[in-house]
Amino acid sequence: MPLLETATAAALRARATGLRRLATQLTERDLRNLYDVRRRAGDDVWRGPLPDRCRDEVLVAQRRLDLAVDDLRRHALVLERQADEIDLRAAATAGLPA
Amino acid sequence: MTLLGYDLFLLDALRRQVRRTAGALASVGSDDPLAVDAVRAAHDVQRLLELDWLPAIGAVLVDDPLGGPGDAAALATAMTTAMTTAIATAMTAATAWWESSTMGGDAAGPRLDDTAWAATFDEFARRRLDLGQLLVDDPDDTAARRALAALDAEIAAAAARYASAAPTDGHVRWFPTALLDASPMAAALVLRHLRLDDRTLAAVSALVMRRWREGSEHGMQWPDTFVGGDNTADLLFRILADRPAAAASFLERARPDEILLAAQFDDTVARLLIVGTSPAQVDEATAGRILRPLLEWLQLHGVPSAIDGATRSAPAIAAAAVTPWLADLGPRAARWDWTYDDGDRALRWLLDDPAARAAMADGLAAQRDDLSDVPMLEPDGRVDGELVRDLAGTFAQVQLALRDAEIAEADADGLLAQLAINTAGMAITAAAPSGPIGFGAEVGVALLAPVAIDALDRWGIAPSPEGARRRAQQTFGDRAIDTAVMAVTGIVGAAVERGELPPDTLDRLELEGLAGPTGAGCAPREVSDRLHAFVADLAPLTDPATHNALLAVLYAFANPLSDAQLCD
Repeated sequence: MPLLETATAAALRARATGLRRLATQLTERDLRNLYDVRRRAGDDVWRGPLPDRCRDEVLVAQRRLDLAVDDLRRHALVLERQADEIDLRAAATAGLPA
Repeated sequence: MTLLGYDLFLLDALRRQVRRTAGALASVGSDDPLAVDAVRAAHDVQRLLELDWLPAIGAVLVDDPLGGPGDAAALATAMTTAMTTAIATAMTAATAWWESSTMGGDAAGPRLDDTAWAATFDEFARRRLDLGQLLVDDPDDTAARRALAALDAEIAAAAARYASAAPTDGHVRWFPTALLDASPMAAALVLRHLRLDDRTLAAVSALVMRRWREGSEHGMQWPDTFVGGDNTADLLFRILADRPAAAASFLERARPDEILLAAQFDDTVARLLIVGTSPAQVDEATAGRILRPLLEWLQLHGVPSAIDGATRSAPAIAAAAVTPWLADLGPRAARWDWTYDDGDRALRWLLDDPAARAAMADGLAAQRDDLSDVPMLEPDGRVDGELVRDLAGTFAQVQLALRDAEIAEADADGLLAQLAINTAGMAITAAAPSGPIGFGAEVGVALLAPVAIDALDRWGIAPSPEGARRRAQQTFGDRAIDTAVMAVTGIVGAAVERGELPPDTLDRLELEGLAGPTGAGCAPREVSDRLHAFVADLAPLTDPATHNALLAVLYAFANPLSDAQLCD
């Protein structure tokens, strides 16, 4: 397998790992934190138009981060597929008769 | 109609969670170009939380627009636009402040995160607790004392740096949110050095106090609970006691247990409560909102036991605070939003405690200088009937409570004597506000002219600390009648001193030869009859104000109904 292609595939997988790690961090820490914000901002804590707006905006923020997490995972998947293709291509090239 | 409501203390928990979330989002980062959108989204959410919702929540915490205590039960509803206006202003200011500090436009340098400040303050608190404990173990440890002074200077300097980063546009009150992230002890140590307005000081103190009472996040008590010297409550109470308006505002927000089960030293509680409920500081309704829950709590839970942080002299402290508002435990109970019976029960509970009785007598004595501020006569010279009724009602209520409790000790007698002196003093002052009022220093009776003191002494009613008081009681049999005699004598004495009545006027009031306790007649009724005759005899000689004051005294303390109660 050519060294250059191997390095490219590894780099793509590393990037995918980084993106997945970020997605996990956003999911397990930040989205959970935002969930707690909404939980602690209920009617028993404060009520009125402003608290309603607060809850709405935090919900929108949660959705936006959810989408960002999905995007990160999709990007990671794409990178991993590209890495797989490079590997396959490299393997196929390596298997050709000289 | 728009419904608004909040729980101040849960709101602080929300604020804490918003800050934690924003802080975590700030750390989101990635070099990967494919993560740009996600990082931007995270930072946008961080900005939303930090610039919109932290100031919004802070504005509610500071302004407390619905103004009540923060119990969940008190989740009030009201219609107001003040709250939203304050919040909008806070949001705008926060955005400007954030932009100026992050763009390098802040003269104080880059903004230090609240978390970093809180950690700094916590470290100060830890060191101070260690030094405090050294001094408890060895008060003569000069090295520890020097180190403590140096540390306090360090805390003051750090507090000044922290405050210098606050927005200064003058429109929005600054809320030192880092103090709510620091430990309560750290917050109390720094709070002293921040120049906060009264309302903000009270709001922060209440939040710090609630957090201290409820323990750390895992329910553990804070470290200062276990070491010697001042704890968080002592520090906070001392700061507040130096700021009477803040003290009052704090007391309105605090729960009874946060006042009575907190400080190590009773004197800090006493100062806070007396300063914060003084008539010079609060109106009648506010005093009721503070003192009524305390009195109810004490009756329900009893006197706090002898453990650290319990106010063991709570009844005496409560009695001292209540003394200026005695009528609100009786005739004016409705002003405190409870019934006469509720107030009377609380009064009797207090009077059952010897230290509380003594504190009440001391409180009455201390009040004497303020008597001339109480207008007994209306501007047109007529008697303020309501005030006179309240005075008489309170007097009778205290007397009955002491009698029912079969308290015949000197302090009970002293309490009644003080009440008599004050009540009589009020009448005398009303009638002779600018006359030659003398001070009977020997017997501790203010406001009596020398001629009046002579007469009272002759009849044995001048309330000297020992003998004269007892003689008076034996002779006249009732403190209400004593009050009437004292007041009438005082008023007439003042008029004599002013030259408006002949020098021998008081000789016309014959009080010798009464039936006495063993006689066939009833001394109080006889005295009452003689007082009425004396006042009627003087009517043509006295000016309207003097005459009205004399009638008020008789109406309150020597009326046919009180005579019947005592004699029939």
